[in-house]
Amino acid sequence: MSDFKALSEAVNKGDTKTALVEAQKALDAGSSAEEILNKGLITAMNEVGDKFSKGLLFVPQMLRSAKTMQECTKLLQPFFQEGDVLSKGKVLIGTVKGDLHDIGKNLVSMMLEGAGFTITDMGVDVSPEKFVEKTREVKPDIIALSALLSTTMPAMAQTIEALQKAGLRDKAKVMIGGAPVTEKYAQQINADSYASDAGSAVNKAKALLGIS
Amino acid sequence: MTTSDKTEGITNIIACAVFMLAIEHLQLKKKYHNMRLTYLPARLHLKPAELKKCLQREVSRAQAKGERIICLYGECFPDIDGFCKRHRIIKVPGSYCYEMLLGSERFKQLIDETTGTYFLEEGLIINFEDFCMGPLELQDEEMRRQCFEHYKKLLYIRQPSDKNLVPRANELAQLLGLSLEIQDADYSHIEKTLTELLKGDAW
Ligand code: B12
Repeated sequence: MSDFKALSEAVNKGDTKTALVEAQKALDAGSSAEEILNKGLITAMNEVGDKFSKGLLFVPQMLRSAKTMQECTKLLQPFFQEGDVLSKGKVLIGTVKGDLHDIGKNLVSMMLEGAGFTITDMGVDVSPEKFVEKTREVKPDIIALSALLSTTMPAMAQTIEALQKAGLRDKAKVMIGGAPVTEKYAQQINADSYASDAGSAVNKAKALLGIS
Repeated sequence: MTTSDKTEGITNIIACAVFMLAIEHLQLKKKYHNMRLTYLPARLHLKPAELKKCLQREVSRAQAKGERIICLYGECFPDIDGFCKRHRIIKVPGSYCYEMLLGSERFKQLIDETTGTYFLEEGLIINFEDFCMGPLELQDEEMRRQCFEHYKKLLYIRQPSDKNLVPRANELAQLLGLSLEIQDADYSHIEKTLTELLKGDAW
């Protein structure tokens, strides 16, 4: 069975063309779409995330790798088995009010989606009221909040308060993240979980819902 | 600096290079003889962890000489306030350099007006290639879109000692497909804050 080395390398480089060829080759050789996604694409994106954290690569490279993963996922889409596409849970995600950073949030969305979650992405500058409204509509299992500015972190607390006031706080788990956010801050504002990067966001999301 | 330099009683302002113009304009060095200035490159903002390391290095150097330290930075890496407290140095209040130049009230008013604002100041305009365009590969249209699609305007915070940077700011606005607005900042806020800290009330 393939170790998806070439695919992984192509994702690391953000070389979409080669990655698509390699993903197709893997399918032709009999690998399942799920296997290619998990062992090829997601593993490679986790490596990219690690390299970013260590300062070995910067934002554009990360964006190119993400794009490559997205294109490959599209290619795999028709090949998923019925059991694979059962959603692991619904995640409502957005960058909080006042904040326009979305690269990290988009990566988290993509990785959660890759791991089988159904995503509703509210974009950037999302007010507590809008989170409340959409929570009522979508009934997510997890509400994921992103903030990259120290000055917008309080909007995470305000969002949790608004959910509380609307009687929705116990209907969904709240997970938070973004470069200035910490585990300690998550505890302080009564979030249910914190993750420092997209890879661990997937593990934390699964843990929150008690799935593997 | 050599080890024989007498630094007892000296206050070292460790500042982001963004503030160089303001500090020169205020002629702090002439007014406070027991003051030293250390500038760190503004480019470090791209990598907050590196910025923290460089600041740490300068703080250790200054403290080894017994200097008192004022840290003139916004909240440019996570928990910079905690960092300053742990090292028992004073951080100038404020989350952003733009806020320090404009004063908190006016800054807050400006960001409450529209969220789609990307701030510019002298250093960022002059070094846009180096600080933003190059590292984020903004010459690539797709990267420009991914980075700036949620922005509406560039807001140039013009300082009294700026050269005429409006043409360049206009070019940047055009490149990014945003409108350009200008707000003039005098140095009264930063002067007041630094003067209070230098007078030593806070020590
Ligand atoms: C790229 C960038 C930009 C781009 C943003 C493009 C975009 N579409 O997002 C541009 C150039 C437009 C920009 C604008 C601004 N920026 Co900016 N930006 C950065 C930079 C360099 C990288 C951020 C990034 O994208 N990282 C890559 C991603 C992959 O990492 P990440 O976001 O941390 O996400 C990971 C984790 O945090 C986590 N995560 C993220 N979200 C979530 C959510 C959940 C639920 C979970 C579990 C995990 C999680 O997982 C992600 C993937 O691993 C940082 C500095 C830095 N290196 O961090 C400054 C930085 C964040 N920006 C900063 C500033 C000041 C601004 C501006 C105000 C500047 C200005 N001149 O106006 C504006 C913001 C205006 C606004 N209202 O939002 C400051 C913030 C300082 C502060 N006080 O907090 C920083 C820290 C730079 C600095 N050192 O000063 N910025």
